[in-house]
Amino acid sequence: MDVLNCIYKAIDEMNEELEEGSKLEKSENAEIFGANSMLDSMGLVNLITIIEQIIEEETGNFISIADEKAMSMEVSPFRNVKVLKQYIETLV
Amino acid sequence: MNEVKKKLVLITGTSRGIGAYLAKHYLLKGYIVIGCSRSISVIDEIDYFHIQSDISEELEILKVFSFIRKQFGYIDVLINNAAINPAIMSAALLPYESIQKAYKVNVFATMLFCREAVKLMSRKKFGRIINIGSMASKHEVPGEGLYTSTKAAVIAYTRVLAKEVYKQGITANVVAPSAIETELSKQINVNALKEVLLRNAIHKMGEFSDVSNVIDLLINEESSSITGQVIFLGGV
Repeated sequence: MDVLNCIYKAIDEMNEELEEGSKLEKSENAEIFGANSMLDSMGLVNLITIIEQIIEEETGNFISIADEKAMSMEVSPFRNVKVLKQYIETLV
Repeated sequence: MNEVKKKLVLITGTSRGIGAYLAKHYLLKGYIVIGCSRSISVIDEIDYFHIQSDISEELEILKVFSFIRKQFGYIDVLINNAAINPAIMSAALLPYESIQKAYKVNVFATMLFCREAVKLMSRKKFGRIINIGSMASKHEVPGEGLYTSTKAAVIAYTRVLAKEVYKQGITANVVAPSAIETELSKQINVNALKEVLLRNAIHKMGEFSDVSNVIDLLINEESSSITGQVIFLGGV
């Protein structure tokens, strides 16, 4: 399974509802959560939810991305797309 | 023409008492009802789906949502009804195991069901969460410290949750019934129960329909401005 592709699919779905100028960038350097991100905390919940569901659809297995490990990491896995991709790859 | 999807309600603790009543009530109203309990289903209806699960385990709760995502992909209403009262005794004697059991079902499971439901509801920009409270959290009856504290936790949690999810079209409220004749209330000493009921404006036991009446109002699409509220029944 291509994790980056799953994240991009989720971003596409998110962008369908976001207004011009607030859309998420589809690149590995795109900031997901933080000062320069377009997402607020519920936006992050939505994005994670969509990614979890896409992964479940593709693999048949549910993974919880926002787990205890993710919350306690020194570098947040939700910082940008690249870091999130690397984190999800450790879970699947 | 697009098919209009039936509303879907997830209710915990549907094997008896208020949960079983609410499941039947919402089936009659045309909802798809997903119920769960440790025991097997007591309801046999086309639109009722029962998941036998121990909700004191996170994995079991995740399985409930996995089923909903795969079969339906949405949820409109969550009613966190399941609750236990494993120890009615002096706070000075409460076994740690009883405290853990009560918190796992009454508080942790409620939080986990809300967490997973919010994920699904926020995609649809609509959701109604009802957490069942208790008059115990108002009356502070000696011997009920464990159960009372779990219900107080549910109230505090729901009020915060309401503020977090409102922008997503989701409301969260607590409905706290007066004593209703259920397996749970039968555990309480009859005289003690009578004494507590005398503190209410209404001195008699409540009815199941009192609960559904308020929930019907709260889950209505038009009730979008009622959130973060605790509605006590029976004149508590």
